[in-house]
Amino acid sequence: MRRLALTATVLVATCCSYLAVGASPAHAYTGYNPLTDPKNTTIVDNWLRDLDHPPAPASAYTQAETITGWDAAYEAAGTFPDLLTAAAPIVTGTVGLYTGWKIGTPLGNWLYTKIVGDTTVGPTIPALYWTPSKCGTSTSKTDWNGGNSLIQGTGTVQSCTVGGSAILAEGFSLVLNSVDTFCAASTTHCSGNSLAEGGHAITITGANATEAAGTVKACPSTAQIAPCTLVYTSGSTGTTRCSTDGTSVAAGACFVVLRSRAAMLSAVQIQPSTSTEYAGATNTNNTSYSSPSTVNDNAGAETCVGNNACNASGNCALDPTSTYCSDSGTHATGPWAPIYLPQPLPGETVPQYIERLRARTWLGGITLLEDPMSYPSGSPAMQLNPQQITKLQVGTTAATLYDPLTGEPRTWPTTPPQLKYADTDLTITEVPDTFVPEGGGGGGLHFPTVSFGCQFPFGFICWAQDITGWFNVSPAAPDFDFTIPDQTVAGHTFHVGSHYDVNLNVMDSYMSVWRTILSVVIWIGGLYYLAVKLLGFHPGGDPGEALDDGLDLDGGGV
Amino acid sequence: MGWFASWLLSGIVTLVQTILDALATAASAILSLLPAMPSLPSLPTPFITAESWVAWFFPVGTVVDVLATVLTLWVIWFVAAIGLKWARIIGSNA
Repeated sequence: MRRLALTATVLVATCCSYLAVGASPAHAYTGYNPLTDPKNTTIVDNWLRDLDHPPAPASAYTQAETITGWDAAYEAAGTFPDLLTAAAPIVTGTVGLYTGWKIGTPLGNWLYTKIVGDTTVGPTIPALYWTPSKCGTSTSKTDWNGGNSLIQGTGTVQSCTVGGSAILAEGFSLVLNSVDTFCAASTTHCSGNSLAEGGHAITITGANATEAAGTVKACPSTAQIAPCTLVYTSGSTGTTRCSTDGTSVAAGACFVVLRSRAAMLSAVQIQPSTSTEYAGATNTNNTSYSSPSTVNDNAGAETCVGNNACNASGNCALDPTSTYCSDSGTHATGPWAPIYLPQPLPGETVPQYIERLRARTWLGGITLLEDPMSYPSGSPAMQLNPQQITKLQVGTTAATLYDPLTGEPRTWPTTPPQLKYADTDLTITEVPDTFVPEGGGGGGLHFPTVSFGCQFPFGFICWAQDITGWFNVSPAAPDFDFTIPDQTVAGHTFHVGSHYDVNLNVMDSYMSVWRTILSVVIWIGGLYYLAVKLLGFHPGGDPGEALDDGLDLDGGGV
Repeated sequence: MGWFASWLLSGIVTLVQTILDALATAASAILSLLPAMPSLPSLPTPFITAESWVAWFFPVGTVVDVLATVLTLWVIWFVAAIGLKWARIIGSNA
C-alpha cells in the first residue's frame, strides 16, 4: 500500500511537471523586458497578491519581493501599455526627482512605481546636450517638432522649458525625428549607454509621436560622447556650458541628461504601499507623479481610469474593496454608505468596538482619550472596567455614555455622531487601563501577569515552542526554476537553451483537499491512541483473529 | 451605610490588589536575575523552502499538533491519576 501511494505521488508530480513545463516557459521575475513581453501575467499576479495582502510595514518584504532598478522600471513599463508606446519616463526638472507610475492591472487594481533616491543630479552629471542646431534656439513646442523632440506621452510632444532639462533613463527611448541621424550617423550624440538601446525608436509625424515598427535602434557600442559635466543656470538669460571643454549650450536651449545605468539602478524602485497612500496621488498619468501622502490625505483631484469607479473629479483609491471617490474632491464616498455610530454593547471594550466598525469598511483614524473617571463614587460609571467606552465623538458631535455629574448612564442619542465618509476620524474616550473599578462593578481583583520569559530554566519551554514552530510552515507547491544551457558538441553549438519554471501549484486545490483528509485521519489516529493507552479502550480487536476464529483454521471447526 | 460598605470593600480590594502587584513585581525581579537561555539558531532559507514543499504533500504541522496534544493530555492524565488513585483508596477504606 505504501509503495502504491509512493508511486501515485511520483506519477502525480511527474504529470504536474509536464503540465507546468508545457504550459508556459517561465518569465523571470528579474530581467523582465516589457518590449518583448508586455503582458507578463505572472508579475501582474504577484503584484495583485501584494495589493490584496500587503505586508506591513514595507520592511516586511523580503529582498526577493522588493525589486529595484531596471527590473522595477521594466515591470512598470510592461504593465502599463502607455509606457510601451510612449517611451517614457522623461521627466522635466533635475532636482528633487520623484516620479512614478500608477500601474493599471487587468483586474483593475493599482500599484505605484516611483523613482526615488536619484542623488546624481546637478552639475556633476555627465550630460548629453542638444545644441541649438539640434533642437533650435526657440523653446516653443513648434520648433521642437521641427527638430529633435522629446515626447512625454502618447502623441504628446513635450515642450521645452527654458533652462530646463530632461532626464532620460537608459533603456527607454530618446525620441527623434530621425533615429539614424542621431544614433547611427551622428556618433557624437551617443554615449556608451546607448540612448536607444533596449528602447523604441520613435519618429515624429507632425505633432504626434508614433512608433516606427521594427525600428529599434541601438547605438554602436563604440560611439562615445566625451564626458561632459553640464553646468547650467535656469532662466532665459542663463548660460549653459560643459565644464570639461567649455562648449557652450545656448541659454534657453534644452538638453538631455543621460543617466548611467548605475545611477538609475539606485533611482528606480517599485514600492507597493497601502491604499491610503495611493489615495493621495494627484495624477494618474504614467509619466509624472506626485508623491502620495503617507497620511490619510485624499485631497487633490485626479483623473480616474480603467475599472476604477471614481468620477473624473474624484480621488481614486486602489483597493476595490475600499474604493472610494471624492465628494467634491475632499472625502471618500463611493461604496461607502455613511453610518451612524452604533451604541457600544454592555461590557464592550474599545478594541471590540473598533473591530465592529472596521468590519463595515470604515477606514478612519482613531484618537484615544483617557477618561479622568471623576464620577461620583458608587455610581455606575465607577464600576466600569478598563477599556470600556465612556464617550464617542466625531468632529464636534459627541455621544456621552455617562453623565459626568451623576455617573449614571445616558440614553443613546437618537441622532448619534455620524461617520459620513470612510475616512472620517473618530475620537473615543475610554476607561484608563490603570483604573480599578469600585466594588460590585464586576472588576474586582485582577491578577497581574508574571512573564517567565525565556530565561533558564524556562527557556526550554521557549525552545520547545520554537522547535515546534519550525514545522508549522505554510504549504507551498514545489517550484523548480531552471535553465537548460546551450550545448556545444564538436564545435557546433546547439541552441537548446530554455528557461523553465516547473511549478506544481496547478495542483494546489487538490492538495488542499488531500491534506485535509490526511489531517482528519491523523487526528483520529492520535485520539484513538490516547483512548487505548489511557482509558483502556479496546474495540473488537484484530479482525483477522476474529476471522480465524470463525473459520477455525486450527482444526475442529467448519 | 451602603456607601460606607462600598468604601470599605473598595479599600480592601485595593489593599489586596496592591499586595498581589507587589508579589508579581518581586517575582518578576527574581526571574530577571536568572541567566538567559541562548536562542536557537534560525533555520536556513532552503530548509524552510523544503519544509513548505513537504508540507504541500503531507500535513507536517498537523502531526506536530497531534503529538503535542497527545503528550499534553498524557501528562495531564498522569497528574490527575494520582488524585484519582487516592480517591479510590479513600473510598475503598470508607
